[in-house]
Amino acid sequence: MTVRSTVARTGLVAAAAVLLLFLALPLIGIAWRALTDGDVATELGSTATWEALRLSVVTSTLTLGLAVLLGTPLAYLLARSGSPAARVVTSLLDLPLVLPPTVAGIALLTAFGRAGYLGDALDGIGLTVSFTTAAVVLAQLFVSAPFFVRAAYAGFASMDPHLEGVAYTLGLSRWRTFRSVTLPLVWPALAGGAVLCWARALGELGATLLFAGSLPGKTQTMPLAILAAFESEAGLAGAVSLSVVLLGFAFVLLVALHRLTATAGPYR
Amino acid sequence: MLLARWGRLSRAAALPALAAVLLATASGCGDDDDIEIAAASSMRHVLPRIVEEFLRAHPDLDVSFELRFNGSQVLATQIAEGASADLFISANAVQAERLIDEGTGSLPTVVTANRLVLAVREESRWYSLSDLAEGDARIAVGSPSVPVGRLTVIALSLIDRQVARELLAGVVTEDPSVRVVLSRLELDEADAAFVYHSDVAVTHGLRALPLPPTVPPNEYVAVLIDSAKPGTEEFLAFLLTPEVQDLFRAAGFLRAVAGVRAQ
Repeated sequence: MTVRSTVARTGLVAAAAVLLLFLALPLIGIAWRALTDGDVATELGSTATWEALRLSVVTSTLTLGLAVLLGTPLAYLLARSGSPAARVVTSLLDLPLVLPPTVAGIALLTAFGRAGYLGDALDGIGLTVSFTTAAVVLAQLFVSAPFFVRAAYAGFASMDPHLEGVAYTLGLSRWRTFRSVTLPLVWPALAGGAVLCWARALGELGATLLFAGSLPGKTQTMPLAILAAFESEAGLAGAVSLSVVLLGFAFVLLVALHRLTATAGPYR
Repeated sequence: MLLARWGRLSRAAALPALAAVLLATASGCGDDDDIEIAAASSMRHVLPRIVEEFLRAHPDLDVSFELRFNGSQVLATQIAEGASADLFISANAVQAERLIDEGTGSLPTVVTANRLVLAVREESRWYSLSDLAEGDARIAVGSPSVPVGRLTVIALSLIDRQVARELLAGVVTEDPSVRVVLSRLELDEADAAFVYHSDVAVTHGLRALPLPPTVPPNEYVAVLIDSAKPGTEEFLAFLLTPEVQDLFRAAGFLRAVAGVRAQ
């Protein structure tokens, strides 16, 4: 190895290490604080914790399902359309990410809330959205779907569209082409986007609080339970204990998801 | 066509726009010599006026103030974790006492108090608790883990049992702070909300339904942080003067009854 390439490599590793440490240190800190100050065992033994965790899992999974089901067609159409309108829509897609989550919650209320401009219409068909578990899913979908669509869009856009054309000329149907040509090529992008989307939905707090409220067993997901614990007499100790439960749980699920999408994916 | 230009235009404008935003946000941070007051969110409206009065009353003191508002729990945690502050005004006496126990502050002083009310929108058809109980109203309350929620539990235990049961059945959310509870009314997502009298006093278009007078008030405790800058103690004493107590009253708070707390 030449001196120059050694220097370049050292720089690379140093830069990577700085960011890795920056990301890891706070997580180590909160885990340490929970072990010394908090009481993770008690939180794990409480039914309230499991109730919040169950609600979080159910809602974030539903959110991911909706994002994939509705987001894949959207990303595909946007990536394949050359129209200026599609480009505008693509750049506007990130707006929900910029909104502070609390504002996103208020925005959802102005549309779907009881006093929102669709409120009367929804009321007419007997639907009240705010303060329901459905509202939790909608709040998560609003803030996390862009992560999936953005990643899927990048996947579809980076793929050579001529490959699809070749498949058509070889007589493959549209669906068959999508399944055997397009999907294998964009699979890593879709999987990565899905993980991002699910993780963001699991951590969602502000939009959920405003749009769905915080009622144990109905709308109080883990992040809301952590917030409630933080505001309580248990304070920081209770909040970090619950956070570590959420982190540990998310860690296991993320590792499983990564393994699943990397090795057991249908195209590897 | 306008749409076709979007892509090129946005790329050309992106860098200058980004630079402008970063520059605009980088300026305007506080002065190190300011007396820093960390106060409960509900003080947001009245405290700036009190500071103004203090500066007018003490032209000899060369001091300036920086006010920071947030939930008492958030502020207490920040201070305990080392955030700088000279005076902490907490809506939660437990938080204040914890800081003192940890040796971060002293001189806990009750500076004012707040009464729990059941707020409704001015134009609503609700005029009593039983109206709400019979009318399937959506009720917002604070989480039992925060003072406003704890007081709500006490209040419900002091009213007619049947009414209390029906009000409880209408609870749609247990919010982590009184600010969020209040927002349910402002956004018209709830019909009634258990909040403080001072919240109703500063929010347009709300009306307070009275609760039994036996519901205890929530006290605001000021704590002098140990490293407090000169002038902070004078300000703390100023909070108990009749003119400041009048300001508190005008803003919907109660007069301080206890003064300095026994430690």
